[in-house]
Amino acid sequence: MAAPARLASVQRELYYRISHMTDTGSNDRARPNWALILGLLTGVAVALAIFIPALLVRPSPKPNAPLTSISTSAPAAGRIDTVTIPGPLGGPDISRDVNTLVGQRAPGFTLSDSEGVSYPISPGGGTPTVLIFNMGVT
Amino acid sequence: MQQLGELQKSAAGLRGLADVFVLNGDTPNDSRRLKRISGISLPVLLDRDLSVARSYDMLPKPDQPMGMMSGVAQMGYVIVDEQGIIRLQRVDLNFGTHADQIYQILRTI
Repeated sequence: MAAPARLASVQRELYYRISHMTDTGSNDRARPNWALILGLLTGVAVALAIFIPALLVRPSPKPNAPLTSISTSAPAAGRIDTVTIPGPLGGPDISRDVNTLVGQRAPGFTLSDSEGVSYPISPGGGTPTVLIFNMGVT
Repeated sequence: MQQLGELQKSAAGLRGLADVFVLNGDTPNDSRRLKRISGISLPVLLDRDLSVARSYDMLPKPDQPMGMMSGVAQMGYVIVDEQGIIRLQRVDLNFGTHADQIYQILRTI
């Protein structure tokens, strides 16, 4: 009676092996790599957790500098107009308005350049004047 | 020095709207060197005793970007309108990089 039982056992074993055999003859069926999938999902979740808040709080690009209002007419003209101009750029450690003399007449002066050419400067001759103050080499 | 190089890029446009002068306390030799290195084509005037910087209140102050320095003028600019009235005194360490802003202000006032 042991032989039929033994035969049945071999048949079950064969059936199991055949049913789990792949086309290549290997017995390794493609199974989902749950560790890899879990790792990828965790990575995506971490990336979203980082980037979504960053996108939400990202400052909108500044179209221009902050604005400053200045008086634009001479006091002698009896009229004061105000215009808005771009304010200082780069923060208070870089740029800042002084404006202690705004509205006053600009003092004239005479300076020379490196070749000894004299420049008498008298602002107010019908053309705006820009004085750029620079540290120079020294 | 780098800022003068940056300013030079906008020098022609600025000169079309205003008389533009660069002032500093350099010696003539240093000024020649400065012009050679920076390539600046604007007049560079020697304010050796900083009297002009003082008269335009552009000497360093404690609460301003160059507040800890002495013997130099604040880096920045003063804009005077065509009637000779001071419209803006601005300390700006990056005045050359911000030259477009000077241009914009000149077009506004």
